[in-house]
Amino acid sequence: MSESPEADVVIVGAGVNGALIAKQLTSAGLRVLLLEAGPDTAYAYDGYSEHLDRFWRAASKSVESPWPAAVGAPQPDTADVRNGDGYFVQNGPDRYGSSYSRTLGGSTLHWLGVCLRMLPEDFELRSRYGVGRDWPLGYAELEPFYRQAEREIGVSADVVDQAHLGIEFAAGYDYPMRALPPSYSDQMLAAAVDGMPVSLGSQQFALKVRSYPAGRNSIPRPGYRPVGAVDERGEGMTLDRGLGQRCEGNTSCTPICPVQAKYNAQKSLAQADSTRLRVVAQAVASKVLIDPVNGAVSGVEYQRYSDPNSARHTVHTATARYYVLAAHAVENAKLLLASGLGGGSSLIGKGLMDHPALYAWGLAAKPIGAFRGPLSTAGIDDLRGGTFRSQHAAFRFDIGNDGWRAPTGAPDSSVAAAVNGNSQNRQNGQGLYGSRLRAHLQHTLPRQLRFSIAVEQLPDAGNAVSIDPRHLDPLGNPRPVISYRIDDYTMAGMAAATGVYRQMFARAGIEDHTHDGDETWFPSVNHGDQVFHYHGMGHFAGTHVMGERPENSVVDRDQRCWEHPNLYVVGSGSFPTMGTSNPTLTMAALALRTANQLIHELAADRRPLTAR
Amino acid sequence: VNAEAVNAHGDQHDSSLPLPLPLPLAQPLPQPRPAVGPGQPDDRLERFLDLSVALTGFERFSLLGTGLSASYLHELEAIVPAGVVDDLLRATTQQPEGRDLETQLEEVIFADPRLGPVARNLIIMWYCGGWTPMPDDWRAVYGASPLDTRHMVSADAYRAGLQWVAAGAHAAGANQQGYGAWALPPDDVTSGTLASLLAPSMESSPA
Repeated sequence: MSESPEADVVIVGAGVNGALIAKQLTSAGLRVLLLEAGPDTAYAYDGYSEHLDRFWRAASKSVESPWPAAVGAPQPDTADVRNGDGYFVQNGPDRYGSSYSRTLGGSTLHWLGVCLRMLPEDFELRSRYGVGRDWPLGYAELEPFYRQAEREIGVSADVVDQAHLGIEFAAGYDYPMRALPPSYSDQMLAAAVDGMPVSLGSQQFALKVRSYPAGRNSIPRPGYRPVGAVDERGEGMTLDRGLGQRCEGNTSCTPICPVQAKYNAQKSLAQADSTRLRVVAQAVASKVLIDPVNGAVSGVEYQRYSDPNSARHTVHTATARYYVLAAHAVENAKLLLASGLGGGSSLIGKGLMDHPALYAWGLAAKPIGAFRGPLSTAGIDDLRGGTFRSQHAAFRFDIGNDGWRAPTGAPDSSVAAAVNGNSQNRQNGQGLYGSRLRAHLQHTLPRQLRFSIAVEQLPDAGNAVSIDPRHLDPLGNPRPVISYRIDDYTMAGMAAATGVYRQMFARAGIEDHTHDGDETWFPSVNHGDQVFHYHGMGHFAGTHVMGERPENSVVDRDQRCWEHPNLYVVGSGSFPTMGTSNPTLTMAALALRTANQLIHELAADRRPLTAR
Repeated sequence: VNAEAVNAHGDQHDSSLPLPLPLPLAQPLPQPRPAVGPGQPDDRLERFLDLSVALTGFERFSLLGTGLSASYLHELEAIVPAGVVDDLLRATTQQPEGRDLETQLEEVIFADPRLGPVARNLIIMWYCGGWTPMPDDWRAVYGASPLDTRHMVSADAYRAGLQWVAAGAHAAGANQQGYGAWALPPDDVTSGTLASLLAPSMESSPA
């Protein structure tokens, strides 16, 4: 350890975890050096606007379209998943379908914003259902941090909608902002399917369309002020003109919220005590340095580049008393492996999960107002928990508000199909034009409905991120090598989910068009005689699992690395299992808990750093 | 979720896909059109609007309201051979006596292997704000411009796509409708904005 470390804590990664921890630590009087591999071009509002313009001009409006990668900090891209190349080296047998962004703010710049808590039973899968593994801490222990995370992110929801499936809230608590109004489409669907009976295993369920908790600004409850657009520049100039303090219905949460009404990690960073925070962007952590005598981390080596279009860089070392890796489930594992760390349990990188998801889409009998509002304002999540989980995966249905955009590229693809004669409606055997084209689109586009069905995946040691010296990026850092397989437990869940969506479509009079078009680019898995086309949800998890003992985990319940007492490794990589909730809220709660731990430890504990 | 829209449209992701070159360059780079004198209607643009009304099903008023007519004509002229554009523009203006517009369009444009695919691309440009590469067989016969790639005409063009109007919605990421607007029944897009304002239709009410 350096004689005079430049900070109390070095944090690697300025996504939601790094930003929340930086905010908490600096507010407690600690000095933080934050290293971000990607650029910080969206931190000033003018720069953010350029990203928005880039999205408007992009021929393909993919998740990554507003957020290009720097040469020095490459990232996976949806097109790579489709083509099977790019940043990830995919070893199969199945294709890992998700991507993430390396930039200040991380993937929260293009997340959807759904903030479901995990269910109490999600933390005890092994004890309750004999599958997966238990967490070293439970829902009750995390509950206060869920509340704190909901405030930090700014979540809009009503407790009355969310208190089910065993989820309990502290007495008197409600979310910082009221639930967003459900879309017209949500209302129509609820009128048709609420109360619909479903049997899974020996259990009966009655479905209900519920508003989704969202990290998206709505009408605040007393005592809370919504946080709008960020405009951080040099010279202490900041923007405060109310922009983004309410969702405006841009129908573009993913890939970019034009007004930043949706939470992104830059908001937390902007709330940190800037006198104690130093952010260095375009600084790629390349190695964690260890003191061979006591096992403590003595520094983080990083590569700085000034030109995002070039691999030219200089090498530096950051030193501090404590270190936090908050670089993403994949990047954390990659960095630990590249540094030769955590060899004891050999678990680093293993147990990689996602929510392999299915799309289902169809045409409602009447206009439901597609292509309006936040991309999803409600879902059907009654099948997230139950005794059937001893047999197959749990799942939930997101109800989309953006027509068939996600699965087919509508409305553009719908226009092209109609004009080129690929749709059922034809004029003289050719495509449509003129008033018939317009009438056809007016008749069909507003009726497009889409579900995303997120299916649970259990940890499997064969599903892993590893590194291989043959596969390096332009800075000489390893590219993630991914082995991935979707097992029977998940596929049986996909089968059950398919049955339920078809039942809902039939009941609601929705004409099923799922995968009825041309060949799809989505990867497929076979389950008996069924074929499932799946995609990733961006929910990477499980690569530095937390546990009760060093033998079966990489980090402890505080996300501290067992082998290196001044090293914390945080994020969804710590999740032993992930249930069916979007991971961001839960990782934010864990990060806030870790920040508490760090604050206490740095304030009180000056013992020499030795391995436990 | 962020990758809820791990969307990836079912088509090419990258507009810079290699072109099947070498192919004859269809034309020299576009020449700027001579300025139109004061008081002189730009006849070519007028004829382009006539054609566009017939192809898109949108009124002249809506098309002019996009502010993109001249850009689209320019785009078309830059990408396809001049003679093709001339013949397209002639279709709606040189209509034989007694023949209805639909028959004229069917016979002169859509039944024509040279004009049909260009007209379809023009329709897509108006609806989506971008250009789609011409089919390979068309390029092989009539020439390939290096500008014949998948691209948006401009950010404005994306935002002004007629598809959003047809959907009764707004361009994703622009022209937002305001907090909570998504909870309201959709406009009855089949009766036109003004009509629905004056006499709200029951068509779009909940079942």
